[in-house]
Amino acid sequence: MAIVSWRTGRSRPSGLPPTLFDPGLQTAASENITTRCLTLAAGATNTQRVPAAAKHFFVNHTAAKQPFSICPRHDCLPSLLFAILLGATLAGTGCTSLKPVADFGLNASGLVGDPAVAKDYPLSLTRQQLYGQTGVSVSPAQIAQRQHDARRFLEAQQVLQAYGQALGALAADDLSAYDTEVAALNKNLVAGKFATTSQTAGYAAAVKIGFRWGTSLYRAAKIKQLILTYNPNVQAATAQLATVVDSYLTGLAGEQGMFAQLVAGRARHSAVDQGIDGLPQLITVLADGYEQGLATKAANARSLIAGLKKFAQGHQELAVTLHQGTWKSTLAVARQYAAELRQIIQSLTP
Amino acid sequence: MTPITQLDALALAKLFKEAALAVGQYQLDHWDALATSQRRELTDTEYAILDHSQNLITAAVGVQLAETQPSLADIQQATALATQAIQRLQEFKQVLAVAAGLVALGAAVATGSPTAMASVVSSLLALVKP
Repeated sequence: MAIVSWRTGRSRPSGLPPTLFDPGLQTAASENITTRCLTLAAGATNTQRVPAAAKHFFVNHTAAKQPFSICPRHDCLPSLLFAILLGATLAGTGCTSLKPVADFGLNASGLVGDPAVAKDYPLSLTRQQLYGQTGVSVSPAQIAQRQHDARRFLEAQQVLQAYGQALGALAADDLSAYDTEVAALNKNLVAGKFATTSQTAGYAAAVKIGFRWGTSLYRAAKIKQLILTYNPNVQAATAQLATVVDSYLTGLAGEQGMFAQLVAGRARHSAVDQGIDGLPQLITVLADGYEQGLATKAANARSLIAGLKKFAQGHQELAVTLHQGTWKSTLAVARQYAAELRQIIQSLTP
Repeated sequence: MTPITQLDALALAKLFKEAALAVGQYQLDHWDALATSQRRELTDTEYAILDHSQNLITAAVGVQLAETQPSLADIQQATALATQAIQRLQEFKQVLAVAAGLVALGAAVATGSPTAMASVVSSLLALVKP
């Protein structure tokens, strides 16, 4: 049972971390550890003899690395060098943290999924019936059409919301899961006397950074692929949904005018004509409160349009920077748009 | 005659709305000067124009949503790909867990404890179960 080293092309026993096998990563483990590794690789018990060639390989490389140990109690220099090397690679690719992209995706999904407009779109017609509208626009067929479209609009929002969430989850650096697994690995190394506790600290650093490096690169590649491939669709869908919300706003403005003029306005004038003391004022107070509710709906709809447009702009700029291949500027763009989306979310009135 | 697009319909809906509200404002501004029948006529006119506006909005939104469907289908595909990638990342973590299990197995073999071996093997089997 063996796994081939990705650096040397040589085999190593499965179950052993690269730091125990790869000469470049060798942490100057003790002869005792090497012997146990070889024993396991050969499928023998700890009392059986290790194949000579295999032992030669391990012992030579182990011995060659001994002079590098400046930390006799910890024996961790090669692991640290490995960690530094990987860290430098990460910094070079700009993949140290994709958190801004995660924030961008999650904030966008939080905003574009707001169901208030979809819910109110058919209700606006129902309210207009109460204002005295008797035309075709408030007929059961038209209300049913709007209810149907409201469901479709909500589903469309959910598609964008799910995309934002998936983008955010893909970019999220869930290192805690690695910590758990690496801790288990270290515990087993110590329990099996493959390494001492002090040695596993070095392995843990190397393994964690190694996995983080690998997964960060994988995440970055997938995010780039998704954003570049689907940017035209995101642009089209967000623009079309923004137009739908704009249509809702036009309808809502008509409703606001209908209420202000044909209901509250006429009632106020009629109350004055009738000479009933206090009634015009009462109508004004009640109408103002009601109109404030409609104004809040309009403000939230405008925020949704702003959010859809901001999501689209951010996605577009991410695509441009990714196309140019500069992760540093991509992360800066993501950070900027994540903050702007957060501000829009905070402007929403419950 | 060329049929109007949903964007033309929306522009028309806005114009109707503006016209209706202008009629309503005229009525309120000249309330005292208008006869009851004139007020009724203006009111009916405003309702009628707003009715046209809302009808245009309902029709245009339906078309707009239909046109959004192909883009949304592609975005759903993007979401599926992102989810697959996330699953791959989970598999990477699974590799670490399996590595930890194999080391534990090595330790159990080294100590020659059948109980420990059985325990580790069953843990490993649970890890690699589909």
